[in-house]
Amino acid sequence: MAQMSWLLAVLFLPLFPFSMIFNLLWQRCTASWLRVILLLLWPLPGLWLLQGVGEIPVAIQGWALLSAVLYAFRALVVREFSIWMGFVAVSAWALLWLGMPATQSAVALAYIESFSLPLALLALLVAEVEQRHGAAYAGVVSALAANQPRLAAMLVLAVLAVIASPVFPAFFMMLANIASSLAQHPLLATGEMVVWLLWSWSAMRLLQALLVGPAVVSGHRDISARRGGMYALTLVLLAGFGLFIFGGQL
Amino acid sequence: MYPLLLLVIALPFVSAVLIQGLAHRLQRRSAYLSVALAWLSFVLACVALWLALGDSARVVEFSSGLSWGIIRFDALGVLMCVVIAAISLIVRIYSIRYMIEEAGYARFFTLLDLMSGTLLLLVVAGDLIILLIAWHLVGVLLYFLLGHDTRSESAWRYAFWTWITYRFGDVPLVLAALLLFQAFDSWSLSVIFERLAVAPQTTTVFDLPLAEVVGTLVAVAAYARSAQFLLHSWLPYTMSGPTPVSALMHAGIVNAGGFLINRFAPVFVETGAVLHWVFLVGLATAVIGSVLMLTQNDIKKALGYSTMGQMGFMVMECGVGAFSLAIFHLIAHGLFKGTLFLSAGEVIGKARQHDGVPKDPLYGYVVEKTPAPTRKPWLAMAMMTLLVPALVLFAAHWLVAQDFYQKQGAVVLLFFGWITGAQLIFVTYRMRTTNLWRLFGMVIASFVIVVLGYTLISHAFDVFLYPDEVFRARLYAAAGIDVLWFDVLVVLVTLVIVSGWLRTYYLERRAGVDQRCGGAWLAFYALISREFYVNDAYAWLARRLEAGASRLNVWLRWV
Repeated sequence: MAQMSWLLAVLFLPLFPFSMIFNLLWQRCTASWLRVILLLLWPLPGLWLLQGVGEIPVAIQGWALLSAVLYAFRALVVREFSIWMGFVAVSAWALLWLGMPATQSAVALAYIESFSLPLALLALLVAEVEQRHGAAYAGVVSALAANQPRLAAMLVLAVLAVIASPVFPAFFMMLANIASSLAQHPLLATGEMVVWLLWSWSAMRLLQALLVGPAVVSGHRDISARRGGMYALTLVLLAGFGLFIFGGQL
Repeated sequence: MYPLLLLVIALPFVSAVLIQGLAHRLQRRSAYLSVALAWLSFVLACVALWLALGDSARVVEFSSGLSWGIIRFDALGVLMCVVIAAISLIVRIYSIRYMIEEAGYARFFTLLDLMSGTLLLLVVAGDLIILLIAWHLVGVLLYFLLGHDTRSESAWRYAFWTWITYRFGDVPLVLAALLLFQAFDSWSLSVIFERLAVAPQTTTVFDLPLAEVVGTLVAVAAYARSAQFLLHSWLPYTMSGPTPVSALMHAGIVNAGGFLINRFAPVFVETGAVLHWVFLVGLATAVIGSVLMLTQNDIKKALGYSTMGQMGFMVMECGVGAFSLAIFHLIAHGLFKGTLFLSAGEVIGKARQHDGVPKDPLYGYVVEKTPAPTRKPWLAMAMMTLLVPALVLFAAHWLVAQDFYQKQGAVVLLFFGWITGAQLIFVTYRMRTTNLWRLFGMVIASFVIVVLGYTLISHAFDVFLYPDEVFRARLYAAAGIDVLWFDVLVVLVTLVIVSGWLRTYYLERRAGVDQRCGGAWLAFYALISREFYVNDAYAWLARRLEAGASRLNVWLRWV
């Protein structure tokens, strides 16, 4: 593979420091629809470039693991939801370099989408929070569970889907990815597990800061029942895909 | 009939969906829907147990047709189903009134139903994927149950401790599952256990023996779930959650470690040293948990540490090969600890009106430091505790088998019986009575019942859960050590325990605390009052990590 292609691949399936470009772009885009498009499309050119490349060199796999650990670790103290999403997206996409055979583009695509879809949903929900509170920042926003219970519930479920909780697609894809890494080297698989653990840590730390607190009269309304139902339906569909489509690949 | 048993697991999930969907219509009545379906689930679980009692070796599996998605009804799964269904039913009935004034009443029952369903799924999981899903989900659901009160910062803080410990425990289980899949190319537990039995010497990463590696990983996963020492700090602090959740957690969820070790018994039977480590970890946890329990002045926290000690005891039983005894222990512990938690509120309420401390000689001795008025026959009691197991041992040697002394498993069971019985004596002895002979009679009777009961019940559980006699013998053999070392250990532990009792006896006679080691005792008390600095160490580590992450983010401009 030509050097240029490698360079583009590490930009679109972002590895540090190229991942900073994605994060910069992500933080500049404030429109939710643009963020959704970015999440769904950004890694696809990288995936396309990797097709037919064969074995990924061990050095790049090590680089990818370090990159994933770095962003998962940095996400621990993030208090702004959209920055956290950018970090987790970069961390999750980097893991594709470890486990997924580059030749099996369908499996790799499934892996990417298993994270991108819930992230896209989360982007919409975060936009709802920002619309009401001006920011989705822990400290500025609190007591979401008491003040906007419907929005809080959807936010919780979307975050669980992003951090690869059962029975969402990312859970099965993480298992497949780790199994694949384990076949190459147990340290890669252990590293992936550490990344998974760090996502869980940072997610709950952030979520907790937003959800907990006594109810206050704020004047911000909860999402409507119809909109809540649509988000819930999307999450149910995601779980269904997880169980029957992504899970079926194990 | 067997397909109907799937309803045992399905009903709690159905209940959760119905409550969530109809919450605005049902309002407070959603609890009754939950309880009604929980009753049905419990009855069906009892039917499953009834069927299993007829032929405990029978394993009924339902497959989804995929490479995973197998539900497995075997003796262990069915027994655990009954326990979980019963405890969660009681908790739900209790919650109807207890939670009535809390916000999120329907949400609470939804989560409770989901938790019950997930626990049931965990115990009947027939493949590694279902097991992993249920194992992981228990942590997620417990986090939200403990944080039910969305206004309470402290409840969420400690729920987070639980969450992160549980997630830490997920890591080794995932690795164990993937190693097993890699070695045997199947997710099905039955297939894996069969293939492992055929090729027990299978190796895995770094050319290590598969059984040893998987056994170790499964044990670590069980430690996190069952609050073993160094992974225990979440347990005593999760008391800010609703009381019914504490009851469910202490009566059911923490026991998952013991269940997991039992589920992987066909792996542990092929291991060498793993069970010895399991024993040591359990022993350390039992001792430390009990010591910490004794120093608490908060009833709920004391119960938390008591659970930790009991979990240590349960894991220790697995470590000596008494797997089925661990199941008996977790059931017994689940029932009494559930009862204690559910009645803790009433005790606290009564204590507010009256401290309930009898102004008897014991009170005078402990609180007012006055000498005990009469000399208490501790030595006679201690002698009894030694004589009864010795008689049982001789009787077994004479009636059951000539080589009874050689069976480490049997001696271990008897040893547990002795410890439990002896403790019971001293607790009973504390009871006030005017008739000394009656007290003696009760003590001897209860001691014999405990020793014999422990031995007989553990045998019954052994036969039910592990009907294959050869397998049972191999389990004890896997945990066995050299006979000489075993005898030395039994004698040593006996001496430690008896000397502890004698020391207590002589201290009571002298009616005071041993002043010679006052400084050492004070330092020890300071150590345990800080809970061995484990939480401080974790807090320090977490702070350092977060400070490191903050520094990195600043350097890298948050991109």
